[in-house]
Amino acid sequence: MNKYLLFLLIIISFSTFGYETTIINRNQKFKAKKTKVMLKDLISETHFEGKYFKIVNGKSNEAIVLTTKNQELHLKASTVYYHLTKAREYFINRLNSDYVKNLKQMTIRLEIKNVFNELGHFANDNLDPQYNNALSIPQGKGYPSAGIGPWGQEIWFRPKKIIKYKDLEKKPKLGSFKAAFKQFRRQVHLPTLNRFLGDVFIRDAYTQLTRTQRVDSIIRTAGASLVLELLIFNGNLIEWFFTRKKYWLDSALVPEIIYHEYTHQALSDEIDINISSPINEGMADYFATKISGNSKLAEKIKKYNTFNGKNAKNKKLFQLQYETNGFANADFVLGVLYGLESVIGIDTDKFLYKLRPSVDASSNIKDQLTKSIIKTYEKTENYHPLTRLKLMRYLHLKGI
Amino acid sequence: MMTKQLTTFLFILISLGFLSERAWCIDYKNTPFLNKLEGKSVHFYRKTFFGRWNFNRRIEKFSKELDDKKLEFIKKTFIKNDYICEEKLLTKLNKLMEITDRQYIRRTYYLYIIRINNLIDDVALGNYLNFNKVFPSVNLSSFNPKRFTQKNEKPLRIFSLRSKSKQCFIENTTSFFGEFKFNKKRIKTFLKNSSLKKFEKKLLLRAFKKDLYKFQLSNKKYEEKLRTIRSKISPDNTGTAIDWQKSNIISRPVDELKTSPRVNLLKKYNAFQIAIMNKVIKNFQQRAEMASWLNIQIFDTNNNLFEEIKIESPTEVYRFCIKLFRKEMSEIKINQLFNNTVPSFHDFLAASYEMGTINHDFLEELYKIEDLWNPKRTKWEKVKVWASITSQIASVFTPPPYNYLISFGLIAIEYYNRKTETASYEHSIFGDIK
Repeated sequence: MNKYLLFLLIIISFSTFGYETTIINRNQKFKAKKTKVMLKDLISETHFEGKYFKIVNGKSNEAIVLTTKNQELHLKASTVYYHLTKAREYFINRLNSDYVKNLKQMTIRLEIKNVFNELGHFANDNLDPQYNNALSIPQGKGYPSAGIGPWGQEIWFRPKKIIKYKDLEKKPKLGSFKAAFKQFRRQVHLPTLNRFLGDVFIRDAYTQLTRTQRVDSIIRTAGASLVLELLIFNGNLIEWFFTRKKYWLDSALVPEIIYHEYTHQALSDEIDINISSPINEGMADYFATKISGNSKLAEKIKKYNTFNGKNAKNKKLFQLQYETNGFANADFVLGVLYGLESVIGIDTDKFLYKLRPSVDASSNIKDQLTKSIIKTYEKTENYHPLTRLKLMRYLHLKGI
Repeated sequence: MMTKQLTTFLFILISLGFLSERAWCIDYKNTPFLNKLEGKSVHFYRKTFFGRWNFNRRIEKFSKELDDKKLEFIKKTFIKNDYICEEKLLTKLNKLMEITDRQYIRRTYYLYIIRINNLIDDVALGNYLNFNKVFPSVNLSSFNPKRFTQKNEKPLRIFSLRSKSKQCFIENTTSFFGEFKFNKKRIKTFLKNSSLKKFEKKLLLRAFKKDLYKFQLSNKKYEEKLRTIRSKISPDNTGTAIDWQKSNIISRPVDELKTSPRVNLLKKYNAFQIAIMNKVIKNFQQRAEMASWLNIQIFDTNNNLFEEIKIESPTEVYRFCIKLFRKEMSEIKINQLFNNTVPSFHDFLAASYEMGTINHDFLEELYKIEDLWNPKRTKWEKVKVWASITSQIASVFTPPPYNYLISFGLIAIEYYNRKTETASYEHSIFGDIK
């Protein structure tokens, strides 16, 4: 009897469950749609707790129940669980990552507003609540004397908060409408009063118009010019009228953000995740595009993200400011890494995964990144001097 | 001056020293101009749609006449001498295809088909085509040395003897006209007073009028030059023979050259010059493929090293190699051996490909490097400039408010096709390499 009981217990402890649910997923046209999928590797029949991921709400350590009445939370938990599983499989199956294979169950926190504290795990609830963001947390030893236990690797998805245009820290610059109208005025040869008068009267002197026609023509020119001047004067106002007034980001519902954050954890064996630098953000962005299978990140998903996304096929050229951490989230490094495929070929992701030990979060682009690309390539099995030369030309053309 | 000449001489010796005896395993016996390097012929490019359509149509049509069977016959029966003398190939082709002198287009396309099958290359094809324009066939059977017994007919006797000894027509007429220092009046007077028949006089006069003697590189000379170049080709570093590949880069038409880089190279430069240009590319290739980092040492006035700068950035190494390469190319221009010629980048490319220094892939990479110096404008960019100019002019003559529409269109075009930003390279020691 005892033997049977033991056998049953072993079976239960190793068995995993599937759960059919609705998530936000990309379709073939890269549009975000609600899709029914089967979540796998769940170890609980009642909670969002799997072998590799436990989805919790806020600071709680209890997994979210599958039957939660909060539909939005359910959608977020399902979406995050599904895409994290997909990202994990990519690192294991495609990149043969032993580190990822041996990662312990990761806690994924949804709707968490607290600032991360390296000692205390969660900063005080009243301290600068965070929204519209996601964050990868390294494991911590805790602070036992203060009753704070150790924690493992975690990913935090902040809640969405609608921010008004006027409250934005980095407002989109107005002025492009005004500039366009000014250019238009130049094109129609009315930049100065002299030229305007010339255009009104001299043009008609050459054409043999009747008096009524001439008056009509003058009125039309003057009227159109007046409208144009009004447009220039109110250019910024018109632009503001067309500009988005509210901004938000629901990071737990954007698949590429989930891939990006998981990549930070997957590369954390070599690249420190404590600092947000152009190199580690660029690497995370690159693998996010590979997992999603599209060069765009967080685009075409206006329902959940109204900020600018990223495009790996951007044509940005190197500028010194891209080296600073203030530009960590610019897509320049992503563009450089993605473009390597045109030189190295389809296994660029494997190549870049091998490259990670030679860079860290504090590496710069112009020296360390370029050097590690070349040095890593020199060590590959398919090394060819010509490809090395092509790599150097490619990096030069990127302005590095 | 003396030192400079000696340096040049030594440089040539060193260049050629690297190139040990041949590894060019080519069938010289019967097809001296066998094409192993050129891709699509420079003679096959047509600028207009109609031109391309007509070319393809005719190739298809005449390929049915000069079919595989006949091409095989040409391969088996035509000997080296048939290719070397332009008139002989044309005569044999006329006979094989049973065409008359008047069937110019047919003959031209038969020559194209021979080129498509790589039995000849572009230099040889160019010579045949040019000769075809002047003489579809040459009959010199009446030129018997015994006819010219008079003392003043010695040039004709020599001409006849040479033609009997199978010398090529171009070389023979060039020697003949050389007797008269290529003076038109003297040649005319001589021919008038000679015992030649009317059609014979006409033949020689036509050869002179059509400047046959000015042929930059006749097939005879070309064959000699080719032999010299190929005798200098060495196996690659591993000792294996070079894997020759055909490339469109060296056989495509280049506007400034008015021909292809390879044809231009072979017509303009001798074997020594080609070897020197090849050496420059070889140096660049070695540097570009092997250089890992740079070390700049700064000395004071007492020759003491006081600063050392290590440059490890791969892009800086690359820029240095390119700049040095460009400097070496410019230095060639002042080399005494290149007195009246200014070699272009295309010449360097063609020279190294001809000498087997670089393979097809490296040639492509070098070709792209030229884009760094002379960025090419795309068709759309060219169209945009013209559309913009035309619309701006139109907007002046169009009455308001319709001119506003044109201007709005212009702004829209410019907005959506803004100039891409240029890199500043402010962080670089060597800067941009344009």
